[in-house]
Amino acid sequence: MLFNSFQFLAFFIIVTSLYFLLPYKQRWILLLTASCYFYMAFIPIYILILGFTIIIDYFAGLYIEKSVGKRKKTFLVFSLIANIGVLAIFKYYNFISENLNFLLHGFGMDKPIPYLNILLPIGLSFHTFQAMSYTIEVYRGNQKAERHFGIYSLYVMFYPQLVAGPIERPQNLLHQFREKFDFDYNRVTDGLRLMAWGIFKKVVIADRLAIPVGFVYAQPQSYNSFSLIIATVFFAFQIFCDFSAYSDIAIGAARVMGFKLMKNFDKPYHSQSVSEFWKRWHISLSSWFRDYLYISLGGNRVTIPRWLLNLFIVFLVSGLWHGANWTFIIWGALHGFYLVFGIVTKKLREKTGLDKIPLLSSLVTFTLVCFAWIFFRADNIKVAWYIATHIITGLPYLILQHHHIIEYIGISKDELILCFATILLLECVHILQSRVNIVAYFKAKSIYFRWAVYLSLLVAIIFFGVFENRQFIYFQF
Amino acid sequence: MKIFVLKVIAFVIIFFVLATLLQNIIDRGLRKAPENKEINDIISSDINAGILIQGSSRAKRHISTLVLDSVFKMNSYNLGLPAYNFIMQYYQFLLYLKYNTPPKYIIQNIDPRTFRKDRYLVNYEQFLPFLDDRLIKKAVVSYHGLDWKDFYIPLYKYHSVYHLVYEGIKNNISKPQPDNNDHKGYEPIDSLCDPSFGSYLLNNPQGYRMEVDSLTLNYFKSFIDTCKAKKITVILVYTPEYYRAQKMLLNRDSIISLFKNYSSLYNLTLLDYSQDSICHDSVNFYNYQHLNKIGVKKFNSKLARDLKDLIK
Repeated sequence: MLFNSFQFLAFFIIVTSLYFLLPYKQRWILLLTASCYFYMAFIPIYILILGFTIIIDYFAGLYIEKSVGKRKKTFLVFSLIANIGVLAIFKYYNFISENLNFLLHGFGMDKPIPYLNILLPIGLSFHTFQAMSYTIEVYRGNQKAERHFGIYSLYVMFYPQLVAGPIERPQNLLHQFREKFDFDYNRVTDGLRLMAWGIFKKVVIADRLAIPVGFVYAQPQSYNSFSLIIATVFFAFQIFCDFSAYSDIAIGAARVMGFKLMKNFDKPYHSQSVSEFWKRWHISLSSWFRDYLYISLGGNRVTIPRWLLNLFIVFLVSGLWHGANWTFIIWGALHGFYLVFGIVTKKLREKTGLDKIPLLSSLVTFTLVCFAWIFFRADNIKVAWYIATHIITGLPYLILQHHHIIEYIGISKDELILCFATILLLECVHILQSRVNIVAYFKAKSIYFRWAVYLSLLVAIIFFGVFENRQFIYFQF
Repeated sequence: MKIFVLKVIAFVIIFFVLATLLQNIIDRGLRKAPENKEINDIISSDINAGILIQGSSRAKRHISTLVLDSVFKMNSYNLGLPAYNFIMQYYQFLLYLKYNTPPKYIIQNIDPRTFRKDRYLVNYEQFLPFLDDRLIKKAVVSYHGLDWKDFYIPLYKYHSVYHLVYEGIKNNISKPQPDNNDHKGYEPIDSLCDPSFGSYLLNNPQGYRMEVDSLTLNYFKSFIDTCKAKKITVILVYTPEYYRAQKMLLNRDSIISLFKNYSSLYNLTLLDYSQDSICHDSVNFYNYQHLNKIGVKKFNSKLARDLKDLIK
């Protein structure tokens, strides 16, 4: 059940209405049932995997809290192995087999390791990481073990953020399931506004940009450098709008019911360095890696070479988290390299003063991020390499030639203009967001103005939206 | 909560009212567009033809209203529907009867695709301004392409077709350019063999089969019954088809005998030009199924000659 479907609209209206009609002590039952239904709408059988990790982590939490010393650690390790084991089987097994078979082929062995014919459970990496954060926090003593099995299950399965985050922490979310949220007009409308903006970003911007991106990336050899650049920039905005839209809808849907989920995006393309980009992009995942991996590796309280290595490892693992493919690993490694390079050259850049020109810094950062997106989007290394090596090379020739620069990339001229217009609109909103509190500004306006904006947004979604029920990109992770 | 619910209801009502209003403006504008002239002429009761031509693109491109008008001194109109099988043609016929007086004669173009099974909406944009008509809606839902949202959510049917929205609004402000080549639905093509002609034959060396759909046949029977009840004379015409392409259709003989059976069963005249000399010269065609202006000229003089005994 996709957020951008009428099925979800009906589901949301029914669940939210029932939520406010039920006595608050029974609301968790409704939310848990609704979350099960939501998850089972994708591939029903995979609820068993979720059930397996929930049971393991629920008991692990209780035993970790009760135990001390080595025994306590053993329960944590057991829980982590169970979670990572599920990830390893469903997400990485075939990737590892493929690579080992490739290596063993060199020794004359033909595919000695079998492949598993399984589909990746939707949002596996998200709920696994959320579950892991629970046992780690209980182990660290920052969170009390949850005794109510239903509430704990809901923590892992809460439908708005079940399949694509934000990856929540137990300290932020668990206690909210015990709170009584009454119907609050302002809060409900805030949530709905955020959801509407998310749907706009998804169906009008992301899914529209997906068409030329898919076209060019399917056969990059057929396109010139300019088209490759356009497709890559479009992908940068496509993935931002796609993923941030999901987060907006998730945060908005939870907000309507009273729950406060963490912010996941903060105008990432306005970042002036790659390190800042990661503080603004997929915040819930970057902070997860910071809190549970980077700090565990020693963080920056180690020698400089070790610190740089720690950073690189974190981004390498982050790449692997996104998918079992070398393209994602290279994407992660590129970001790791950007960060390390940024630290090493910091003093030199400060001397030149180039860092002090914000627009230049943002432009360089955006270019670096876009270059890395090539590896993220490409289906395989071969395609990524072709694009990465041809994206600039033909450009001087094209400029000198003065014609055939703009090619057909799967959309009409009108649609191409629309793509640029939507990106421009998005950036205008972001610039406005940096200067004023849009929500407060909006609330201060008359009802006629507000409703006119809502109606325009709705009409824009209907007219310019792509209604092909395209999946959110991050569902695959 | 009460205020919120009331506001939501008010918002939904305002949206539906305004969106329906805007949709009607776009619909009205698009109905004036030359490309929607045929359906608009039907609905406006502007046709009232003595001779009605029905069929697929082969009817639209091959049977000249100019020739029929001049030879028979009777108003003729071509309702050929490119790319559609008989189901859509039948609904168009019912629509015609709903708004116009029944014709005296119907020249029904037939070919192997008339009773084929596939039901996908082709060029669905032509129906969008007319979806409020119950018959058109019924016709459209017989095919795959549009769903409930297109009928019940105002403006939704125009999503992603901005050019139509623009054209619809524009046509309300300024009068659309009339089509100077309007020949009452007849649209000949003035070109020689297209480059795909030879490659089509090369790409289909094994030939293909055309499945006959029993449901479509039922519509055809209903059509004949309605014509009989309304005292309309139906003449079946199989217009010329390039001879090499005919060999590609593996079950062509059984389809032709089906037409012959219907012809004798319902006492309908069948004029078959598929073996005519026109079919043997590629100069007469712009693709393997369609005649060009050269071929059309030759064919229409033959058709008019043969129809003289049938149309009085």
